[in-house]
Amino acid sequence: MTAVPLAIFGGLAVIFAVLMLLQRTLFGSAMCLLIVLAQLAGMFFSMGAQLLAMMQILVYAGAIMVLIIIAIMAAPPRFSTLWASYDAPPAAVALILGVLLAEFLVVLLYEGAPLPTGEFTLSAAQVERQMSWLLFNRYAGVTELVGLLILAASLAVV
Amino acid sequence: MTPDRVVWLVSVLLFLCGLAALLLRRQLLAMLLGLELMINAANLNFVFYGREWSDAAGWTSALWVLAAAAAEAVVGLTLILALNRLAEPDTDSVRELEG
Repeated sequence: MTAVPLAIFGGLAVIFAVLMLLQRTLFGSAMCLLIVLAQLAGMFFSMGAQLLAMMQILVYAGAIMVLIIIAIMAAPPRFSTLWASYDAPPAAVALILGVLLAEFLVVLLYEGAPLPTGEFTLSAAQVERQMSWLLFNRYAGVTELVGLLILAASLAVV
Repeated sequence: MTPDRVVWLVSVLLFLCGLAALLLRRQLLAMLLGLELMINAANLNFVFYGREWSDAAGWTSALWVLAAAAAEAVVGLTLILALNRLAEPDTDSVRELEG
């Protein structure tokens, strides 16, 4: 797995994530998020997780984003100010984000002990076969629970 | 730069953009978009390390997160549409539970 495709998809994802934050219209933000989700699907694909890449596009880009766009059409925002008015100054929020970013950069640059590589390196197809065994054997209960969660959410909406 | 550093950097920057949207934007829908971005940033690590360590539990978790995020988006959008009937549907006006 080389870093080049990951870097290309990831770079585009970060650019459009920043654009999503700064867009004036909600529709623009939603479109930028849609592009970020597509880049992430590309990253999943270049990691060999084809099933997850397809699910990302089907569920996220296909279903959730359509819902969000319908909600934007149904509920046009009625106030023009983009940013929240805070009792605490925005600088405080920017400070929090800055500290988080700095903390991460230290971790990134600190050449600590190398991460443990897998005891065995499986091909993507083998990992996917292992995933189906996990989903419907060892963690079948959790899979059913997630299904019930979606059912409950759908009923709650109605 | 190794693949894991690239994925780390991308997932943290996406997470911070989502967190900034959640903290700084005023419209509820923009905050929901930020939330979706944060969920996806976490999902990216699940998928990468599932592949890096040849352990399908990462991919399995990513699939569950995908499903749970779909349910969360549905309920969130319903609440936002319900709140839209208020005079000024933004985060400052939503303070009490009715009934």
